[in-house]
Amino acid sequence: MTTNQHKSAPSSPLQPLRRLAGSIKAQGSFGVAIAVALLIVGGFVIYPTIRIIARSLGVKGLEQWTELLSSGTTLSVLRNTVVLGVLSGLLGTFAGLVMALVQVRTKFRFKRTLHIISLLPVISPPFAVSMSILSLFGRSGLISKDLFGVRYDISGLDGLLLALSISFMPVAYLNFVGMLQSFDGALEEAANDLGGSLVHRFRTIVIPLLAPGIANSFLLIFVSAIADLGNPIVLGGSNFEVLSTGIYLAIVGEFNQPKAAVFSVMLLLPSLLIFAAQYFWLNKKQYVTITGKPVGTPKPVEQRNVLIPLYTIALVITAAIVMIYGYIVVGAFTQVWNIDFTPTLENFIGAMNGASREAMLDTLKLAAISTPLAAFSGLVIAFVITQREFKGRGLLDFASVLGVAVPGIIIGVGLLLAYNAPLFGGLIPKLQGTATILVLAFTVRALPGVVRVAVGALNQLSKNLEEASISLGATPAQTFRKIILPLIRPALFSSLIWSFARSMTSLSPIILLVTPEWRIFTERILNDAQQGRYGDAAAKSMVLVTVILIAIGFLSLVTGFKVSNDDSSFAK
Amino acid sequence: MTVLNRPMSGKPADPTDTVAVRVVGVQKIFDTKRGRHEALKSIDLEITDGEFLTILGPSGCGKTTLLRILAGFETPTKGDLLLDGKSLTNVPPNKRPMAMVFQSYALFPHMTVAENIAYGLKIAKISKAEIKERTDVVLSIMDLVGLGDRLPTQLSGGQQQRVALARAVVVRPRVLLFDEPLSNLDARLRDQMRSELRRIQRQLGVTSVYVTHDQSEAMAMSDRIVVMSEGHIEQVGTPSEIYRQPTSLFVADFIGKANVLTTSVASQSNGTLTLNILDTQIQLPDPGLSSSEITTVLRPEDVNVSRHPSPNDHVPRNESGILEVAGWLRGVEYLGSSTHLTIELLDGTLLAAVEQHTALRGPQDLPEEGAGVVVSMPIAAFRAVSAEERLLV
Ligand SMILES: Nc1ncnc2c1ncn2[C@@H]1O[C@H](COP(=O)(O)OP(=O)(O)OP(=O)(O)O)[C@@H](O)[C@H]1O
Ligand SMILES: [Mg+2]
Repeated sequence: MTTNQHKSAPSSPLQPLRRLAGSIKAQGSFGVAIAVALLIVGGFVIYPTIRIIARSLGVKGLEQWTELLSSGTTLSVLRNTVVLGVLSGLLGTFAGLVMALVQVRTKFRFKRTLHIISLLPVISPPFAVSMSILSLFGRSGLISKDLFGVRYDISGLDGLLLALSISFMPVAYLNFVGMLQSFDGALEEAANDLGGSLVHRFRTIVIPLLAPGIANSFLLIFVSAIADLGNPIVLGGSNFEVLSTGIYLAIVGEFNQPKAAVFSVMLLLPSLLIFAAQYFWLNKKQYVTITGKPVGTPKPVEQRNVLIPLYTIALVITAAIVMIYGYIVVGAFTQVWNIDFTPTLENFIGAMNGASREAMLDTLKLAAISTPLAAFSGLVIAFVITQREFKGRGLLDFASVLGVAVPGIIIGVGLLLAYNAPLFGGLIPKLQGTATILVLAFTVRALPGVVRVAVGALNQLSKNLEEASISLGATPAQTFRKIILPLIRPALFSSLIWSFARSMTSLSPIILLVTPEWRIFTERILNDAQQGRYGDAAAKSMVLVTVILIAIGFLSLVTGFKVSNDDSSFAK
Repeated sequence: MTVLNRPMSGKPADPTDTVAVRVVGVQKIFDTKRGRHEALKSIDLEITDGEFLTILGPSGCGKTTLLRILAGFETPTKGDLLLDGKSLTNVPPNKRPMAMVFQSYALFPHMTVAENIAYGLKIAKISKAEIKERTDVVLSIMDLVGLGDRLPTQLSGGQQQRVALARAVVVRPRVLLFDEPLSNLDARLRDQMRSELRRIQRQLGVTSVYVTHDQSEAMAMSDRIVVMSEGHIEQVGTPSEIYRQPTSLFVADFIGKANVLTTSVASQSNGTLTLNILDTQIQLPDPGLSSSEITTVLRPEDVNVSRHPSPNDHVPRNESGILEVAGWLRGVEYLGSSTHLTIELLDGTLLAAVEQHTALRGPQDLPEEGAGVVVSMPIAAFRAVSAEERLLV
């Protein structure tokens, strides 16, 4: 092969940047969109993260490293975090797998109900589960003390495990439902024809095929669990501190930013490593398999020796979910949770008035800006990633989903460190304490989900469709409007919902950024919970969920779309 | 988009007149993770106005790449394209008066058949009345009347194919580009669509470039065929030129069946080649190849077989334009209209022959397997070709 290469020596350190700028310019009208996308990701994910790392390597940061790494408390914090992550990952994956198997591979009669129950944790505020668990199984819990009379306190590892496995189970569930449904039944039938028993079939065919899904779910739940903040605050108790609560306390309690930075780096490292591993190995294979239509549908399992344990476990999980969420409703409608069960609407009246009402309106306003922003920029990024060849594409792809890997609390710390003073000689004003930074936190948080959904939808569009349109004379912009947009509208709708629900329920990225002028509803709930006003917190949680559901209904009315049955978009 | 105001029922294809597209030294290098891949080496080609030109070659030889460069979906690494004498280098794909028909049809799934067909016209801001009129005309030419309100998913494969074609021709492109448009259809429908497509192309007189790896498709449809291999053009010619006068072993072997005979050059003078072949010598017109790389090919239908009682006593003969060699019949394969024979010559060379059958001359008139035979081959049927290219299967 003879080719004359035109290699130009990098003349200055700015060369790569200039080349990037050049290739953005070459993209014409999409160039602007690409630039905006790069700006959002670069300015509000990457730059803040770099600031954290820099802070942890400053003089005070280095002092903290030596101090923290030699203290027994830090080591136990690290151990707690890892143990919690691993166990939640295992438990959540297992629960998700069982629920998915019942959903896809059995003739269970109430599948639809089961599906909704399995997805319930997706829209619940992050720590409502913890409050309920505490009320049921805490030191003076309804079940532990009143029913069984034991002095058992679930707070700490036990409670957190329960709360996190339930909270993140839907991730695994959706993952497995998708995988099991796209299985080529013919494969399994072939094994069956060869005389394999059901168990053998499962061990040799199904489990190996599910292995990537198992690994994926475990890692995702692990990352989400170690990043979670709300649950450990409520359920951790005094003697079970994890990295995320450590960061939170370092900022709001000790005003020790270097310590927060060091803890952040400790939390960031495993998250990023796992993310990178997933990004480069696990995810690659998935797009290929999803597109093909299944050749044969696998037969439902009917053997009793399989069904009985499967149903039993599923029943336990379902009962736990129903009990925990049901008890939130009980708490919301009664005087004092666990003590005075007199029905009342007082909690709701409180939740819909005064400071709480303000917070809801503020949150809605912010989410109303961040939702379309995230949906639009996510769509553009996804379009650019899937349809366009340009230098820096891989980087954009990586960076846009990086927001998943960076734990919310770290996004919060990063934005705090990065924008607590004017930048570029006042070109960018101090953002700390403004609504802007809250909107940005919401946006970068929702962005990866939107990108994922849209990339999935776009990948299913054949590139030939776009080319056919262009070959018939349409400009790229016309093609986008007339062909691509209509075809990915359902996905766009899911991403709007996703990004809205995510914004309304997120806590960790914004808890460090709220100000007296801009209150966030989840932060109000946490406040109630921390002060033991569980009834108020429960009522607020329900108000929040109701508002989200109403908004989804409104959105689907406006856009004319139904929430699809397979909400695989909510995974991750 | 330039929509040419050419009448729909234009002139018949006349491959003698002007050049529509000129491809000048086009090279394409793909930068891949595993290095640089030169998909097109340096392509020079002239596409005549109104002709049906087929690009034929094995998988991966660069056919699609060349077509996509014409359409503007890929930029050539080097070289230029001229359409009616004007460079296309800076013309984006949507401004090129070309329309492409894809292997997957690429019908817009959210639009009806009529909307699909009207798409290009709407983009070109043609008046509603004219869109209606032109869509109706095309629907009737394509035998799609009554299907205008259906969605693409509600059509059969052949109908989808016709909609894809209709959508492309309705904008009256200067050049129609096809990338294996028939390969998704089953064999019967493919044959039918093949002649349909050719009929429509003749009727419209639109210059067409058609990519395929199916040689019988290429033979049946084309005014001219471009045979490609590994990123370069092997030969360009009419179907019969390509078949009867292949210039390389690759072409001879890729199009139809060919016997490849080892030859050495005895002498080369005044445009005449004297070749040592099968223990004798023959003289052929010199195609102007350098002597070291010459092989001789012969089509199986030019090999005549008859019984011979004692092949071992037979001496190879070259008389009155016929070469006669003896051997044994090793294989007989009856196919209905013809029989394929395999002969092992005395020096071990294997030769393929085809006997066509008629009512008067059937398989019973052929020697039986294992019989001694003598084969006679007209010298004029031999063809000296460049042996440069390795045989591909
Ligand atoms: N976008 C690309 N990036 C890298 N290599 C490519 C790209 N497109 C094509 N190639 C390579 O260029 C060569 C020619 O590809 P092309 O698609 O033109 O083949 P083809 O002749 O159309 O084959 P087929 O009959 O299989 O469609 C192949 O080796 C292919 O792998
Ligand atoms: Mg091809």
